[in-house]
Amino acid sequence: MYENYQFVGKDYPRKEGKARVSGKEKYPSDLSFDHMLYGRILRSPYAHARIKSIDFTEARKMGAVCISYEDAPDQFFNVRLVSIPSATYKDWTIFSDHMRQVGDFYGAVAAETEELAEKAARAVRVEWEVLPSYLTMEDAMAASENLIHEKVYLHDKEVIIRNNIACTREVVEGDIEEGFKQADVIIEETFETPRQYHCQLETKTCVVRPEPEGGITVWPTTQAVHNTRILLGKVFTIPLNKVNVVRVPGGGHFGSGIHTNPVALITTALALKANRTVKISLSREEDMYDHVRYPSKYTLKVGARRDGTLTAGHMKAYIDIGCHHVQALAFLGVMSGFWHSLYRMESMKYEGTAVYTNKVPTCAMQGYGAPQVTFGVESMMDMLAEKLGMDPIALRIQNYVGLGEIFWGQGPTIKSKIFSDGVVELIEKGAERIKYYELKKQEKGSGRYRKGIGFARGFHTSGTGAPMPGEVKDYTTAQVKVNEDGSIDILTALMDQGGGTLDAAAKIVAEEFQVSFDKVGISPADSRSTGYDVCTHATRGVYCGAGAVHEVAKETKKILFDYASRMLDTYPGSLELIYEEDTGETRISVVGNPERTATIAEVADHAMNKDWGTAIFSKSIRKTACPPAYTNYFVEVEVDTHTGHVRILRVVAGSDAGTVINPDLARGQMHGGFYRSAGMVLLENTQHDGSTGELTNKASLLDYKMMGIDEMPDEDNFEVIFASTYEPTGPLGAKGVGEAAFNSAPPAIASAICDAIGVRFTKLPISPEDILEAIGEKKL
Amino acid sequence: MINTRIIHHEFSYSNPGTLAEALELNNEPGSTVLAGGTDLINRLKLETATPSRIIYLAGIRELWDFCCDDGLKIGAMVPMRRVEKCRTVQQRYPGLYEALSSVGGWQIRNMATIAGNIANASPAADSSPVLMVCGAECEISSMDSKKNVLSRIMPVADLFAGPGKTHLADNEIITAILVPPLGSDVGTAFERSARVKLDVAKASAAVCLHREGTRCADIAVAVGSVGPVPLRAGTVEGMLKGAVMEKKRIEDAAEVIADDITPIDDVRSTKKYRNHVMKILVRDALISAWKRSGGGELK
Amino acid sequence: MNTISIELNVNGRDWQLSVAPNEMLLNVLRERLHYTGTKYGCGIGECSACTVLMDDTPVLSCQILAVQCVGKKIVTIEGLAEGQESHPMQDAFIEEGAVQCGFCTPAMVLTAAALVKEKPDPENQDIRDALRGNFCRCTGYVKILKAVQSGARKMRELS
Repeated sequence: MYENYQFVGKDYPRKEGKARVSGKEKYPSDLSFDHMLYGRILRSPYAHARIKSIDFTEARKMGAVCISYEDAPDQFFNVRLVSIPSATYKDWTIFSDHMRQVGDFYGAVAAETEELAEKAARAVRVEWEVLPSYLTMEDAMAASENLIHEKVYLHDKEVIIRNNIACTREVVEGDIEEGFKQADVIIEETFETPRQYHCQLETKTCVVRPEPEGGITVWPTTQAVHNTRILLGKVFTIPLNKVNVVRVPGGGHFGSGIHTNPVALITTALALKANRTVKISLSREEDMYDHVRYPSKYTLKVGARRDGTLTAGHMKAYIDIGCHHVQALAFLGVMSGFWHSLYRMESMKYEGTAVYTNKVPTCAMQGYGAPQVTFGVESMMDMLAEKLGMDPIALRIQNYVGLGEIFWGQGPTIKSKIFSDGVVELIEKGAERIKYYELKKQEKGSGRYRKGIGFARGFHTSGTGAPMPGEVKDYTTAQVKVNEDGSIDILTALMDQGGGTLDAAAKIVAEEFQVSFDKVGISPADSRSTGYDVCTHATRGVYCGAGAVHEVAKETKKILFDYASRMLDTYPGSLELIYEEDTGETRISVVGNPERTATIAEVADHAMNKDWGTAIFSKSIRKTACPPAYTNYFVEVEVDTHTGHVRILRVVAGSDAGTVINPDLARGQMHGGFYRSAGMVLLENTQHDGSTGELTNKASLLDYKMMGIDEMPDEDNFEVIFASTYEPTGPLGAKGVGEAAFNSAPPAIASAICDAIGVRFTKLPISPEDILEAIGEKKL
Repeated sequence: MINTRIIHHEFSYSNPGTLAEALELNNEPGSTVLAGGTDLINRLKLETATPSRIIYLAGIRELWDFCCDDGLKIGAMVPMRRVEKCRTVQQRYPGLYEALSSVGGWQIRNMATIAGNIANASPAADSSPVLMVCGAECEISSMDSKKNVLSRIMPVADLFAGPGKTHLADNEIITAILVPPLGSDVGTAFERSARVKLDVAKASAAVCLHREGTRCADIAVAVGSVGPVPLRAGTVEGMLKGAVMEKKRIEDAAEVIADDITPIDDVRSTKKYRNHVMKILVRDALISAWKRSGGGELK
Repeated sequence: MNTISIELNVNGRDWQLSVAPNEMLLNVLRERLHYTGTKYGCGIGECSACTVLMDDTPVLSCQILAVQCVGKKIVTIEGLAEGQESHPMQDAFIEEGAVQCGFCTPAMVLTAAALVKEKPDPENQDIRDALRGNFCRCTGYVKILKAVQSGARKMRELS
């Protein structure tokens, strides 16, 4: 398949590579401007409290700029603007006198240096009224007074919060009572997944410069340039043509940059008050109190016939969302969508409840509900297979939602059809590569070290496109321009978080124009010079984002061909593009008449000198499907039954990404997704002290452990297989990888542990302590 | 909230060129010394240390001395990696090598010193149990009111008073670690359990074993992270000293480690797990030390 | 608090500075000398994003006071290539796809280069030992292992 492509499927040095390896790449935390002030956020030491008074006298005497809820804009908003307004709950204000978590913010100060800002922050005097705090969902839901939020808004309608329940969602299809009656076998289990911290290496940062003509320029850590601009414009009442949010590469996001970080709002407030550039870069401790993954606790009940068909499913989920609503409503819907889309069920009922607690607010992290759901569903498939006496892989192949079927993707409002499906190919190839059936049959023995083999599958939607508009916005605006020397510029606010999204866009354009990859550039982008792009999330970067760039590139090519046809005295329909490998030139030639030819450079240059114009085109493009990027993992582990330690020995990963635009970067996505998944399974969790509400790990990296270079296998032991599929609705046949790389790994690892020691864990993470508890301590 | 981007606390800074100068400065109340920095700088950031003066010891030439021809003499400024890379340490003190190479990453070990590690007196410090079982001592210096430089020797085992506390007087500093020479019939080993390799130990065990034929002539076992200070495992030692070494005896001895330790539940692990995994670590360290002492296959 | 006049040698150049005793080397490098390739990731020595070479040895600049560095040769990522277009380890990281968001990359490259100088033909275990302290959240370390092997090969070929 890749033989038909000149550039796609080949690996090239990535565009920002040189800047990054030389330390020259500027991230938001590296930016510095003349006469800049440094901000420091004023934070609550209490999990739940009200402020009776603030005294800035001493801080002001030091020359610090001070701001609080008393003088900042106080309108309600949601930091995340991905959902349409009618589906957006608003419970945030920039500052508040009602502190809802340890680390919640009531104001900020700015001074000439970070040290002086710290001094000023410590000089601020506050009178506190400490309130009872709710640190478990049970306590929160039992409360009828001193609620974490009393009144919030859904769009612009007031909503009264009762019992700290942020929102609920119910999705029903068919009649599950009837469905369970038809079942020969029913299994019910409770699953729990942890509050995993994104731990992106660059802490959240923002620099804001107030402009002399009014308005602001903003350099934030973000995945969402335009949503940040719209939010800031709205909250600070600045016309959008005077709010310029610059796209700056960030040091990792993993979902924590989908919403506009509070730092951006606070920095803007300070900058406007001081009328000077202000920069705030969080400490790691502040960052750990800033955002965390949605945890989950849900019961899953599934009914199946003897023949393996699923007759009914009932999922009841409680999600502890911490002290703010970022995208909980959407999250509950996404859980139902992923559940429904994994396997065919004749009937289903999903009930989700999002509960406020006085903890770190939750937001999307790679997978966004899919890892939580896939863990339970895949574990359940193993349990069902065992009960039915079926091969767990055969059971999945029989029931998975695949080619030609309608699937929900991220929720019932995004139904679309599946046009490409590499599931069976990946499973069969992977099982062969790792010798799954042989390893499964192997005797575990009674020695100290027990090996186990596990398998799980899953998917992520490539974006959130659909035939109808839904609850979330999804489109990208792009511009493609041909320069007079034949080089090409791509302008879009689409963000690349490191995975190679923009490289993919460049490569697709290179392919479309048959122009060498190094001649296609990604222009610097900001919100004033680009049209709306919803943001890079939901694994939409390549399929939707680069897909939009591709559609626009085709239009630009039409204009170029029009100029070429005039120049060559022919018709646009009779032109073809030819890339000359030896010269690196690209020719536009008349089919069958190769002597009637000109290079792209010659055509563009000619068009300029003839005043015909530039070959340039700009448009917003929406994808009307969100094809599943299927993945699966075969994992071999070794459990030390004396210490409970789990070692990852070997991984064979399968990725159905359609046409793989950047193979090496796609492999990198699988490696990274697996690594963060393994962290969720074996190590990562954040917990709050039951009385103080502080993080038990003191918000320190010392006690937030993650898989390290010792714990991850090398490339010889981590193979990635790509399916040979072609997605007809995707740019050059491409789908996504991103979150799919995470979703199916946790149950694969848990299933391998179960195979090794005969214990199935339904609560993550699984520590050595848990393993020893389960298998009983070995007598020496 | 803690701000690890800066050091908020202010202090005076001295960089003396001689030990006498350093000791005189250290007589000032509120002074503290700085060697590798990997503990003190964090304590400054976390504000668990608020000295009025910091005395950097790097200018004192003799503190950089590291000798390994007759036992080990490790000056207070010698970075751990230098000791770790020494052939003699790898061959003659493999337990010490194992302990040092498990402290943090390369960068930390390029800066951190053993003297600093034990002076910090964390019950989880990796070097402490190994130094204890090898019979290491620390050379401690101070200056009296008459400006005389005083020096005394104290066994490392006697140094620790509690978590983060030593028996050093306020104006005393460790200037060197002395480790006695070990014969070829002495084996040392160090085992640890942690959540991942780059981590503070949740439990650790060090063994120094002197073999005579098939017997364990003398033995020292010390454990870390399972009490307020690193502890000697007297009960375990009692079961092995003088005995003929057999697999069963080692396992039985390791089994009773719970009698010698007082682990707790904390953010890293549980009391229950530590009680259990300690048996594994002690057993594995004993087997390893026996092998290194020249002992043959255990029956 | 008084400030102290010091001279720092960074990337081959001598800088005259007036610093407070409590200023970290990391912040002086970033804020005063504008060498922003050295990063703040945690401030407590757990992530190694602040790695610099001091007298050719990788150390953590968030754990060192600027005043401690008088008379030391400091090299940050910006100075690694020593006037050449690039250092072979930098090339290797790009070629092997070991650069994703890139925030950990300067520290990884510096530490890897120091490893290969000490051990020209490192095995995977040597690389793990040397880079254990270097945190990366994107790559899962798989490509990084490969890149260091490739960089080592390039460095051997050059010498």
